[in-house]
Amino acid sequence: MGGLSKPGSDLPEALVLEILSKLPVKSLTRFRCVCKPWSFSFQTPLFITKHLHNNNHLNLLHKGFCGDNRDGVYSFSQLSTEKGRNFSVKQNFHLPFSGKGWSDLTVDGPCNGILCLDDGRDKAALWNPSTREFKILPQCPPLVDSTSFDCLAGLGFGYDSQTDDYKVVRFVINYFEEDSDAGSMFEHTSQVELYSLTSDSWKEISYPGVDPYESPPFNCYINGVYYWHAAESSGHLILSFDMVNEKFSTLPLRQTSEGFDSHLLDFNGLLGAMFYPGGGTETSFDLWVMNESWTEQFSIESVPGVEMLLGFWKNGELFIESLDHQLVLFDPSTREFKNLGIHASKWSMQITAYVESLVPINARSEHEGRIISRSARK
Amino acid sequence: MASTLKKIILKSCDGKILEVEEAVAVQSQMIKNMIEDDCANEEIPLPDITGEILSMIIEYCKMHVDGENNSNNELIARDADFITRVDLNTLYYLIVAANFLNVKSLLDLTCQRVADIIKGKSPEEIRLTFNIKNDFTPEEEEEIRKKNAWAFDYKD
Repeated sequence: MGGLSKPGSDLPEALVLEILSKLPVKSLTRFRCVCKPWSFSFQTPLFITKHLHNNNHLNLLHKGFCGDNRDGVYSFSQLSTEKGRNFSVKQNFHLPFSGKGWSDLTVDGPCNGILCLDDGRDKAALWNPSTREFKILPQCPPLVDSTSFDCLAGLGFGYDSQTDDYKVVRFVINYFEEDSDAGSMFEHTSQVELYSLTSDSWKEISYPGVDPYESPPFNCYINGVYYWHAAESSGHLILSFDMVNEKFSTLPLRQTSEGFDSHLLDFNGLLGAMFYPGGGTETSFDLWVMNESWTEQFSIESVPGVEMLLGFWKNGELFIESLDHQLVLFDPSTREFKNLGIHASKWSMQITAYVESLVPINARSEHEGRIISRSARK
Repeated sequence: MASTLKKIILKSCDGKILEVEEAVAVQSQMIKNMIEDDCANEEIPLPDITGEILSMIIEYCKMHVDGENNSNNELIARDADFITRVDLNTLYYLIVAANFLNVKSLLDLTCQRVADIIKGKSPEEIRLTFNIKNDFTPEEEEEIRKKNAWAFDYKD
């Protein structure tokens, strides 16, 4: 081999960047102080996109509520996905907000490694757990009638690839009291608002005529489209929102018997729906996939002790909340259960698999960037 | 039957001649393009690739052609076995050669391997590895370190 003492220094810049684009975000963040050109390169859209496409390593985020209602807190932790680590807690996240006043906390996404958190009412935030950037979204515009009360009926988060923008769509149901002969009644109207990260503001968009119900993990985002469960007088259906053209559409949901939960999911880029009966001692899961029409993909028979399905893992394993609210991994091929030793309040757990990403969410907001870096130092 | 297969002749910068089956050679997009343009009938000189590096690349390409019917997991295991035998200096030569010959999967594999080796290093070690001059003032560097203190926790 040649007599070079440091062949690394002879690598063309493009190849050095090729290597760097395969590094974890933590290493890249540290290597920002290697030299100015590197620090600059890591922030270019070209490098950020390349890094995103090069990273297929999935990280696991666990969310759960611990303690009783008044004093309890939501905890966020990253679980180890390395072989033999048994999904032990790798690190706990300390979000740069107290969580006070966040009565309920739902994780939506991921979308290019970014998550959207919402409190089921009027607060929402974007979070990149890899860079630890966190951004509380501005308040929605006030509703028409201040004497009424409103509630969040549904929220969706996604990416518009045409304008390179992240968007949040939210449904607000506005209840107001109306006197009638039969006494006091609550009437309601629905309103839909769309947030764009580029403009950092909300705008009202036209209401599609149906309201979504259920929150993640029952809903899902696939390739620029967000899907919700929705109900109409004629039955259940799926409401979708295209992040690019900002249009709603509906599609039929395979009708099932009463008492079945269905969990919308990304099945190799197609919309899938996992059906399973709520409650009961043995649960069977049926996966249906929308490929022009609903077709059955597979069934997993009689899984005992299921409270709720939380999601899929790489080789078809299921993350499950057990009847005693433990996090369990079930492998359908071996029918083996693995209790992962994590417990949380009933229905408060969520498991989110996300890729590492450098996508900035705070670039437009210096002020908040400072808050994050301070709190991230613990 | 093997003798009837078309061979491509490659010549390394140190004069080593290697005969490679076409099916193996076309793992290189560059050679594939040359064959399609009918430019690969005579020996192909590779000015910046030594015989040793070229042999390794051919070994890798052959492994992928032979393993075409193997499962994805088997191929990943073979790739891992191949790449962990290579030291860091050789990896750099492989990267340059894989890039020149345009063997995408080998370029990915070698770059990923270097990334895995350097991911836990300090900025100082990285500057030494790539012979980079620190152009930050001490104050500027301190500012970045302070802002991103979590990334300087080397536990993992």
